[in-house]
Amino acid sequence: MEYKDIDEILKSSLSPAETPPAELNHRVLAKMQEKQPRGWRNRGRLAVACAIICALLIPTSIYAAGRLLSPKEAAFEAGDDKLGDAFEKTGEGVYQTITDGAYKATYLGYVNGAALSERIGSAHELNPERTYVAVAIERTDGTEIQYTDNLFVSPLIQGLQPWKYNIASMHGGYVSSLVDGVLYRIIECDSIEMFSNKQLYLIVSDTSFYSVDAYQYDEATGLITVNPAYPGTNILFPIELDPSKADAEKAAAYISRFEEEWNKPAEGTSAENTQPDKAADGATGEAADPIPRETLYTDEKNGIQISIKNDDLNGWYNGWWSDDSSSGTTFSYHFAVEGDNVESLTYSLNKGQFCYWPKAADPALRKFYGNKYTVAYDEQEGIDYHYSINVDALASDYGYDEAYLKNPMNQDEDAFHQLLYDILEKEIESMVAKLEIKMKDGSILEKELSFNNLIDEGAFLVEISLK
Amino acid sequence: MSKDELNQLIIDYGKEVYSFCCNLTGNRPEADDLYQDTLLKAVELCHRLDSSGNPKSFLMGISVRLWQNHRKKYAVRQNIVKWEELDGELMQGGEGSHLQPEEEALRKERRHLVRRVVKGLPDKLQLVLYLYYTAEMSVEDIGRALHIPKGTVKSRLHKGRKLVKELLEVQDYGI
Repeated sequence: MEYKDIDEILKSSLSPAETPPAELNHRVLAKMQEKQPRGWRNRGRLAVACAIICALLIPTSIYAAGRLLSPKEAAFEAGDDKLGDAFEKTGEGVYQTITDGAYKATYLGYVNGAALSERIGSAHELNPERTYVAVAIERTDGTEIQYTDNLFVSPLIQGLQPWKYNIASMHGGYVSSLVDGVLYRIIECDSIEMFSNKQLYLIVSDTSFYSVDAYQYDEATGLITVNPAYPGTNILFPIELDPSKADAEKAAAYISRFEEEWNKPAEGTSAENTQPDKAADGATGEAADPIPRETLYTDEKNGIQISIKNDDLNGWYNGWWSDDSSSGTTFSYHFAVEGDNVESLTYSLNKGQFCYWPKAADPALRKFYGNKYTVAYDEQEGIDYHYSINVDALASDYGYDEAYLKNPMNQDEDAFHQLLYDILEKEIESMVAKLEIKMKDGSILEKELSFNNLIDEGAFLVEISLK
Repeated sequence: MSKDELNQLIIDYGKEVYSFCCNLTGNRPEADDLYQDTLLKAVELCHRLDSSGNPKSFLMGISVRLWQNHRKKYAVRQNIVKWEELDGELMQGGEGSHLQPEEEALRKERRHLVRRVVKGLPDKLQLVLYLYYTAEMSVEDIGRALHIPKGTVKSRLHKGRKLVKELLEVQDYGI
């Protein structure tokens, strides 16, 4: 039998031939009408109601947004149906919009609670109660916003220093999606519901982290306001939670734990020293813990903090994308450095290169930046700072037979995937990221990070840990 | 999404979606459920449907996701209504209406056999074959719908065809 024949046989045997019964189609249409009033129509009414309330209570730059996705839809977009259902069932729609500078941000709504999301991580074990806030952000010049736009979205709490208590330190994270030129970002962090008797805020700024230039904190009252002199975007919304949910005891315990964690002396002054047990883990063959959402390495002597952020965008691909026999992955981990006396930063890789990995998850859309780049400390926030690390391993470099690799269609798919994955693991284990921190006094500090690949063989997932 | 828009979606893609659901589930009650769930989910996500630029791929992607999420439910139903029992009444269309009775009988027998063979393949191979031959999607669109590389789609298609060929030969299909 020729392949052409089997193709014809499958075509004729499996081709679409079944028309849905008219009765079934009528049923679908009827069910659609049943569902509509709770969904789209309600949203329209809510939007109108919000428009009236907002027009009365808040400045004219804040108004209702009727054409945007609801928090539920934004969660669906982000692939988190469970969270979408939570927004619908127990969340609150807000729909307030503020335009400032280059951006227009709409606070869509929020939901509080435990086990609301399909996304789980170590932060959920530490603090199961989470706050989720959905925000829509657009550019004001009419161009389409990109994932690469530098934006910081975070809740803040009256009386707690905002540079210290924000999404980055409160075990936070976010998911984003781009729909029709609007960036939808759903942020999450430890629940702020216990502080609901205080003034709570949601900020959106054109910065990578919390910026003391963009917002002002009154030490006496604990109130936070925008800095009117800030030239960029520094938006601030009030978050109004149910005051009856305030829990002073719980809040005090949270702050105590937070401070303890914050003030805990660093276990070392470099990345290599911060995880002393890793060598033992490696020796016994046990997997090391993956890098958490945000891990801070503190060099107290030089007043430097290095952050490594995991954006959960890691993806493995194999060479069949490009019809060659390579194996690669893009780690969406990126580095950030804070330190008063830092002049510039130079990042380099012995293997692979830095790249931008768009959330569309299409490897063809990656942009590559080579294996080294230098940035002035003050310009960190002004560049496309969302770097990932891309690694490609060629199977032929690891001694695999060319003839076998050139004809993957004739091989067992699973075995071939495993082979490519094994190659990738070797490549990752020999990869070193080097960071040179040039200080204002001319001295240079060096940090090196090397990685393990934690393999989930079933799903071919890539998760890295520090060696 | 308005009622008219949903109706248009049904006119444009209903047949392919329903046929795909029939193949995937192997029985009419579940095909009906999956088809209904797919369209209602599409209504819920209509903002995305508009911007997807490829409504058919979007609908198939929903079907696959629903199917994968509710396998247990389907498995229970599978025990109640056997696929084989319904095969005779499913997928009666195709090119055969002008054929002689003997040829028509042969065609039906072949369809039945091929469908049984495909149904016996591993899930991941079945899915790609149905998306390619029943939903008539391109390799690229299948990759997007299943979130797998294009090369993997090609590989699964290749492997699926190869296995179907071998299994048909074993059963003395004799081409």
